[in-house]
Amino acid sequence: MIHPARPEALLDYVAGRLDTPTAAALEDHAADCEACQQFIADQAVLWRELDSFTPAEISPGFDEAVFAHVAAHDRAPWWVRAWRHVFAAGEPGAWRPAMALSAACALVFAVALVRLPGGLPAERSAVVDQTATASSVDARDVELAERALEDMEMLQVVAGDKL
Amino acid sequence: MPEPPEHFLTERVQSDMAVSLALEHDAQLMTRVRGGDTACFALLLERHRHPVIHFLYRMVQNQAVAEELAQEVFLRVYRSRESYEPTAKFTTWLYRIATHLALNYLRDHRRERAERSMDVETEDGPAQQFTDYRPSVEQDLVWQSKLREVRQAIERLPDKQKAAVLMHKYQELEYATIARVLKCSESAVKSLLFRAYETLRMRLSHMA
Repeated sequence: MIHPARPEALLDYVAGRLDTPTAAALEDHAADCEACQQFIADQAVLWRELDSFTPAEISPGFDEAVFAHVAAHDRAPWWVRAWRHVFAAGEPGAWRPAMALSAACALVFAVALVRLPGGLPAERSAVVDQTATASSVDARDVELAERALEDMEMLQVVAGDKL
Repeated sequence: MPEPPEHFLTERVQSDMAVSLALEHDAQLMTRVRGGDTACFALLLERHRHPVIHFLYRMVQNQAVAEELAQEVFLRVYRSRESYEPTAKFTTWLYRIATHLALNYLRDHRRERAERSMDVETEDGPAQQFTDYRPSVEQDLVWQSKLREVRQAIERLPDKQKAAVLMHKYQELEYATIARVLKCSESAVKSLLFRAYETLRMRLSHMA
């Protein structure tokens, strides 16, 4: 037999998570394979060392603290709960409404940027007003000039008559 | 292809049935929590409290912080009851939240951890729980020294390798579940584990 087809089988063997036939096959192989024997021996030592890392006792008030958090959550206004749910990183499914909300906000902002700001129409109306004013001034000047020319012609006629 | 032995099939079937029942049970409880049944939430808390706190304790190596993070884990489970869909195994879902919170905590407190690792004595620890059955002060000191080295060796692992090792060694999760929790492929998890165990073997080889 060659080395195990699945290298993790060596880890599983030391952890005692292999089924009996696979473990037996691995033992048969390791009997003739120094590398596997060494790996299994080293990993077994490590496994025992890691067993010493036992957890500490849990505080007696742990459950009460969880239920106090739950009660506080239930008492919070709906929009606070929604906000926490949407933006709680790591909460299952939280990113989906957050992404949808972000997309909706971006859309509203884009629409607002194009259509709603007061500057653009006001500027346009100001330009239109200025153009209208300028054109009305120009028209008045032309009219005045025409009148002046007419007056000059009349004066010339009058002067010619006198002469 | 040869047929697997009958006892192997029986073991597999029994194991699959047990997993299936556990999956249904947790999912059913969560569905009832969604319907407003807080007693079912208490049952889920009772069932998963110890493994979650122990996992977080080994991740952050501080009991008070581990319990605070575990409270947040269960609060998030409760908050997410409306959106819960029993498509994934409940434990995968639970450990995903726990791992996310632990990794965030480790990232945010990197500097404190570095300072703490310089200190020989850690603030908290389960030392007092061994005094009952250890016969002598010398053995107690040897045991505490060994424990400290193991804790430090684990603490110095990269965060993702640490999470993978803790889920594999202490929580006894399968590769596929660890992969789903860490959002990576099964082969990536196996690679993480091989690297992590190799590092630990080197760091702790003098204790053999």
